[in-house]
Amino acid sequence: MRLVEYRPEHFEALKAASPAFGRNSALAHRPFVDHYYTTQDWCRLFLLFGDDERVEGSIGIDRMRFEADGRELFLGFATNFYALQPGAGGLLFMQWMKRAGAGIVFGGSADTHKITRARNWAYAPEVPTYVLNPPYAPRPGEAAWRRAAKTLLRRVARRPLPAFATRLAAGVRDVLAVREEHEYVDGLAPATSAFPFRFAPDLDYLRWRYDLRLPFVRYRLFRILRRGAPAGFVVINDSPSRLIVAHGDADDALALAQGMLLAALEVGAADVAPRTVILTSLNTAMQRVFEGFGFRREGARPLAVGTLKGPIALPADASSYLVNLDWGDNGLRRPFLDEAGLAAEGDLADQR
Amino acid sequence: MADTETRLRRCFAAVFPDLDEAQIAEASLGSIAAWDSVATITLLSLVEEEFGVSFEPEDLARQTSFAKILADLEARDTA
Repeated sequence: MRLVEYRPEHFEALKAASPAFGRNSALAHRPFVDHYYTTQDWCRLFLLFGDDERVEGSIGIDRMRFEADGRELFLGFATNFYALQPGAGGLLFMQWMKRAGAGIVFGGSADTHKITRARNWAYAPEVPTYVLNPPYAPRPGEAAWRRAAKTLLRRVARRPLPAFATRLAAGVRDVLAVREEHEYVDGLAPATSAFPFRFAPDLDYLRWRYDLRLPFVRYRLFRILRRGAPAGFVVINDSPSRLIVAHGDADDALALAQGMLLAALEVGAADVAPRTVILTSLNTAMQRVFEGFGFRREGARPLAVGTLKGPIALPADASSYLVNLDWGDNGLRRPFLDEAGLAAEGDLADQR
Repeated sequence: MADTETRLRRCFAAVFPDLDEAQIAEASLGSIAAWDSVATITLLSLVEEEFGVSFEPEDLARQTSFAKILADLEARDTA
């Protein structure tokens, strides 16, 4: 076996292996792979080649900047972590730890958590996923009556986003507003965040991860304004059947939650068909806002941090962590926007 | 002090207690049911600790059998 850093000439071998990684694997889509794994030093993909020169595993390592109680903390976020041969995942995990020093998992497979639990990583409470307008998507092998019930629910229980505008708490629009921006500029992130543990990337990282001009995913950026003054920002992943609240930060948790709702309503302002909205939150004040708006809690994702040797201490009160869904590439699944002929969007089950 | 091979055998025996001496010598990733990802990490971490070495990221993928790890360690001894 040999481990190599991905370069564009490896793409065909990677694509050939990708069906074994899952039907929605983003690794089969060259624009995704080449943008996220070849353009910045902080995010690279490593491929495990077998002796027959086939790709037998992969791991993307994205070096992300966090803040924990005001301390800067760089953690390697693993993406597209797959191993086709028993035991090979351990080689990839060690690659991750040796290159990043410390890691974070948000979501992740059962196999990944088998490893991180064995290394005694620190686990936060699971992060709930909140869904508005659930897709009620049929699943393979589901009973006929359940599929019929979902078909009915899709027709009667979902509404276009403008119909939710009246659910904003009274007075919110008197104080808060969102304004779409077309560049990431200084002053976008709040000078002081409301969250003791948060992902706190610099502008270069934001410009790359949530690039507003990618052909395969449409990110939209909104500044949150409180009485006209900057309070934070929200990034929405905008696609035809769903919106994902990808990332955001603000100087106040309630302002961020309301800003996320305002941004989603802004994106969907002209909708005539229902779209699903998905986000995650560990913050109890924000959760109350989302539940009051009509979001339903559907599933939860594990969140863990650690090193090769053990756990990393995080702030004690996990209920005030800022955990947005689209860390790493959590919000990115095939088919992408530039894949013609693939009607259904990435499996929402993968997002929870 | 025991030689490199003996010390490496002890590492394998600690991680794979059901293997006998002959099986350890033949052990490789894919040939032993118990050699899963957790075992890979435990084994390589134990070897690093026992021998006071650190496998470079680019060398990790070679460490897939008793024979290959032994060869790597012996090459370090003679380097």
